[in-house]
Amino acid sequence: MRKLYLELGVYAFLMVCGAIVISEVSQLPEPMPGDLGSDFFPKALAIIMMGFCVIGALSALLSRDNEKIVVGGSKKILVTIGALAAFFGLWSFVGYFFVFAFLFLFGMLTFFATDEKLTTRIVLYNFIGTAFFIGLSYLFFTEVLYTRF
Amino acid sequence: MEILASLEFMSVLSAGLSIFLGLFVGMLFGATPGLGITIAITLLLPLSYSMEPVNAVLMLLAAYQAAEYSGSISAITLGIPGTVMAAPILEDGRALAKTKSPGKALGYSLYASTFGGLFGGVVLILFAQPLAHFALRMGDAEYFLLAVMGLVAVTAFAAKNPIKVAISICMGMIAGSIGLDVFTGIPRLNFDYAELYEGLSLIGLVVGLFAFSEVFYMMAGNMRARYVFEAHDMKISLSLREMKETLKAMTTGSVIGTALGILPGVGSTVAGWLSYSASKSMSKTPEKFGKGSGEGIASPDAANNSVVGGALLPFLTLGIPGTAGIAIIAGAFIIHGIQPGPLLITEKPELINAIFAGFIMTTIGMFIMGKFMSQGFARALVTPNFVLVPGVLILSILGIYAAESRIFDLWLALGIGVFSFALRKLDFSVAGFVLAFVLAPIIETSLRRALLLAAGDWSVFVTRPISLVLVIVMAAMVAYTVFKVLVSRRRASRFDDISEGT
Repeated sequence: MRKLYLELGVYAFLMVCGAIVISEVSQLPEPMPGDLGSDFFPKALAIIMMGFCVIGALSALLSRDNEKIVVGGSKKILVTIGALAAFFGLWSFVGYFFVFAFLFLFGMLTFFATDEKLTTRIVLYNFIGTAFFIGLSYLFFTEVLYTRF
Repeated sequence: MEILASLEFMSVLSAGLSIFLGLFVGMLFGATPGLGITIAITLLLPLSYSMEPVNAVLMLLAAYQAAEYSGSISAITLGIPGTVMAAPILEDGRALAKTKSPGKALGYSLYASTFGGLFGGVVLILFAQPLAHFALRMGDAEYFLLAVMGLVAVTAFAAKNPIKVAISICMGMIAGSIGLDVFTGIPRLNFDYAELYEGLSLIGLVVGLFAFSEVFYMMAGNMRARYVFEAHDMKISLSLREMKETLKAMTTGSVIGTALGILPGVGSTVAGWLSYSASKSMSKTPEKFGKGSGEGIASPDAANNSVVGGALLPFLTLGIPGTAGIAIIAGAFIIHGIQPGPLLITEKPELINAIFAGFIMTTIGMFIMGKFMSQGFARALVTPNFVLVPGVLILSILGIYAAESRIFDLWLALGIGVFSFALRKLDFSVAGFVLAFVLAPIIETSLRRALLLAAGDWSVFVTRPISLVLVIVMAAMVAYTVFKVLVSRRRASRFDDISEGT
């Protein structure tokens, strides 16, 4: 993707965010006498940010820089984001954090290892390593820090 | 003596263990290219919930100090700086490692880091009280301007596009204003999410900004990269003569590092390069710089570590964090309900003295750990990214949830991680974002209170002597930024014309 388009997209997105901020805080109650009010600070920042976005977009348009942005490993990034979302979702609805944490970690280690030649030995190492780490985490977080997952 | 007496106050054993943990994690993460200081502090922050405030702060400071040093380990042994701050020592460190030994280069680095750390610590101890008393005379207008000056400095001294840094700062401050308005108690920008009533979770935010986005960055690179480390002659030591030869460079670096650490928003990257140039110009053998000069290693490393003590000074005395690292450490104070500032110094001297004593212990601990364990950390560098990435992810998840037991924070971190990955790709500043996030409540509160007390008269920001000086300094920074942009534009257009001509 061209950097210019991505930049313009981000500036447009940020301007929409700025507009949402302004609209949200405009609904806040009137300030007390003498006070700037709860809305002043975020509103002022949103306006300043939108102003900078306009300047940024203009300077991006005027610059002759039209390089291409290549995101290497995009498949890995998307799979990881999907795996994280699935992990959080399953844990929220089903529970059993440490079971899903084990599956997530083992799955990620094995998935990333497919770059190399995936052998039974690597899978076994991943399994043992994951089990050891998750076991240790279970003991530390639940028995030492008393966190309930 | 007060500081020594405070050793009784803190449980020495638990403080020692906290410092050890911080040093270990900081040294490991600082040495590993791609991880670095902020991720080390970020991943340790959730642990601070279950710790005594002093121990939590010392653990994070230890991680900060150790990572400042250990960035040099990979720079010297592999030729890849573990942290951005270690970049100035790269040429001399590598050259000395080849011509003499890696141990000698690491020796210069470790001794200088310790010197710088102690120097910054002594300055912190000596100047905290006077600065706190001075700060008590400052009003809200000055606090507002000082905090804003920190953010202007981030923009002015950033290597990146200032407009993008300014946008990042605005985003950070808007994010910092989410939640209850401290003046009126009215919830703002929470979009009816109960989890946002008290604002964005600091831990979720910093993990998303630094750990998740860094992991995506690592995935975008070469996941199979394995660094080759040749362990030979790793004995880390310096002779008395070598120490004497570098004393001037270490002192120069320490003075520059401490001074720039005190100035909010500048940080160790600038300090490292500036001290390198200063030491080169003051050296009797400037021709050796870049070819394995001990001074070329000692000066930036001393500067990097002295920045920590320097940056703690405005944070502890004024409540204003000057670097992204200190901003995250500020999280530990927030978690424990401690408000840094002049009142903390005057009303809780036992806590401050414990932090001071612990800070010095931290630096000494860093020296001991660095001297005996640097080789081990250097060996850890060969861990490939395909093991590091899942490791960082699972540690991040455990850390975020352990902090406040909210799954919402995990979704938040994931969303912020994806968004900040895109922003980093486009050269926006995540450090500026997090600094602005932490400073936003200070800026808003002091602005509104100053105007309330001045009956809405905005001239309060220029009529008092200190505030006037701050306004002038800020105006100079803005002018410098505009000048820098214009010069770089002109250079770029000249370069384009030449390219088109050829």
